[in-house]
Amino acid sequence: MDWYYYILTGFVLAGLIFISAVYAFHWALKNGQLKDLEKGASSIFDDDEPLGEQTDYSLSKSNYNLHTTTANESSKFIQ
Amino acid sequence: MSPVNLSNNKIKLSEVDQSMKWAGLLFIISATLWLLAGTALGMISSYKMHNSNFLANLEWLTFGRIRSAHLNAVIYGWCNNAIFAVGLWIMARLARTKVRHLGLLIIAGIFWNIAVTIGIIGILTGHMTSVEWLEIPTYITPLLAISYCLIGVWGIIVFRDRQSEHIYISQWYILGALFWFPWIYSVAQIMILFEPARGTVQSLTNWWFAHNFLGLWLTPMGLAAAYYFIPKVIGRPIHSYYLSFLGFWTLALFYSWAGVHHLIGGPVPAWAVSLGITASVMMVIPVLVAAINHHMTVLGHFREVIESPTLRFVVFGALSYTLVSFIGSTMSLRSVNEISHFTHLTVGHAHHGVYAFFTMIMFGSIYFILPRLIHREWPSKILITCHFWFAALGITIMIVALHVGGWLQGLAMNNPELLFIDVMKGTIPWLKARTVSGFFLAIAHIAFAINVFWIVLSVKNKPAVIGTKALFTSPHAK
Repeated sequence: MDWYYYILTGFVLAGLIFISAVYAFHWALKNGQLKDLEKGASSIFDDDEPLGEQTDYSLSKSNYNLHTTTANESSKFIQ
Repeated sequence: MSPVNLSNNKIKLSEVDQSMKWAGLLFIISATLWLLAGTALGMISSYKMHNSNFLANLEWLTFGRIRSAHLNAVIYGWCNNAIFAVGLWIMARLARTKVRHLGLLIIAGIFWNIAVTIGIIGILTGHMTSVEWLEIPTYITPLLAISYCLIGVWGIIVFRDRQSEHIYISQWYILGALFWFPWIYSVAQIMILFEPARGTVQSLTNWWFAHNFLGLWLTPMGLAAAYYFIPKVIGRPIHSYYLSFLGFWTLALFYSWAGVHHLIGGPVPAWAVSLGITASVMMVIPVLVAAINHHMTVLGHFREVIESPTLRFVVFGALSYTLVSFIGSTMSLRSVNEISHFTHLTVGHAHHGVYAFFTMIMFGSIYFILPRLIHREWPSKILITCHFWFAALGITIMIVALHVGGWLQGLAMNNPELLFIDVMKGTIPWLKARTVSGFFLAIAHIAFAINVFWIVLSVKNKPAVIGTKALFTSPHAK
């Protein structure tokens, strides 16, 4: 109920978490997750919510107008 | 035109939203109800701080109980339900897959809320434990743990089922947090309550847990939402995607050590405290990364911040994250801590993190998610504006009052010439200011709750549609 108890509950679990983090990092490197990051950054967009288009503007004073002003500046991200 | 190569199995974002409908509704409505309950409990405890006779003859509502009930209702009720709604929705959207086993998620979510309710009643009836952040009586915490595990496993299944090739930074944060929370919660429960460790080891575990609840659970979830919604709403990728990975891994490396700074001057080994201080200062790296990424992405897009309720709240939260983290690193220094410790400044700092940063980001996220889940528009824009300004003003008043008041209190308490009772009397104006801020926040939360129940109950608020595309939260909608 003393040191081996702390080692069991504290350190073993902490060790498992640490090892899984190291494994996740290793996997991410091997899998190429950290390559071609510009493309990855755009992975949140799709046809419904495309790059360069504002998706939320309910407090806008103007009537319906899709803001596409950012399209040009963002086009460099499109592969 | 689309930068994403849609493979066959990937489904559209709107289909993901539809599949998350019932689970999302359950968690958002529960979160809103807990927010209202937590606000009421918080306001009563705040009022009692400068008027101790208020409701003092009801033992259920004595300060010791109601303050803990406020804390637990807010963190396990509001924060966790909001995380389950927002975090799991982002996870499903980024996985681009039809979610499975929704029954499991919904049943686990119902049991989570039953367990929190029993826990809060347990605190109010006097069965609470004496451990801060873990006051919920031990007869119900195993149910909390089991319900969470089912919810967490559900999130991991969605991640496994993903159809997207790239794991977006938000997914890293959410996946990490889904593992970190059960780890810190179960270790703290076991080592403090079920098989108590020796005295000082308990206090180390206690503050390791309490700080990591913010650092390894609320913070990654808040950052995941910020990393998703800021680029999403503006329609522009994050400023430096490379840096965001540095931010994630440094947060994972440093944050779990920082909690010991709560025990500066306490009867724990000095090396442990020094380690905590070092980690707290090292947190400057991930904070700086998040600051550069969030603020540089928003820079030049101020009009969008004004127009989008989501962006307003998320940007407010992101700014608060930068500020609260730098203040936090400073507070961990021994020379600063000997003034700020055991004062109202610590309370102000906690609200700065959990409210001004985390809660504001969750509000913004819910403004984006709920219309898409149930295919309706927000019924009232005035209530949204009202919510934002009362929340922003209220939390600013609270933070300023408690920081200034707490600092003056700390200076006075370190002065041996002054009587303790006089120092306490000097804090009263600042505590009254906090109660005023509570009224502001209550108005904000009522405005939010009205809008949430209104959108859920009103069937007429359909979004404007152009072609096959629904334009959610557009000014065009009725």
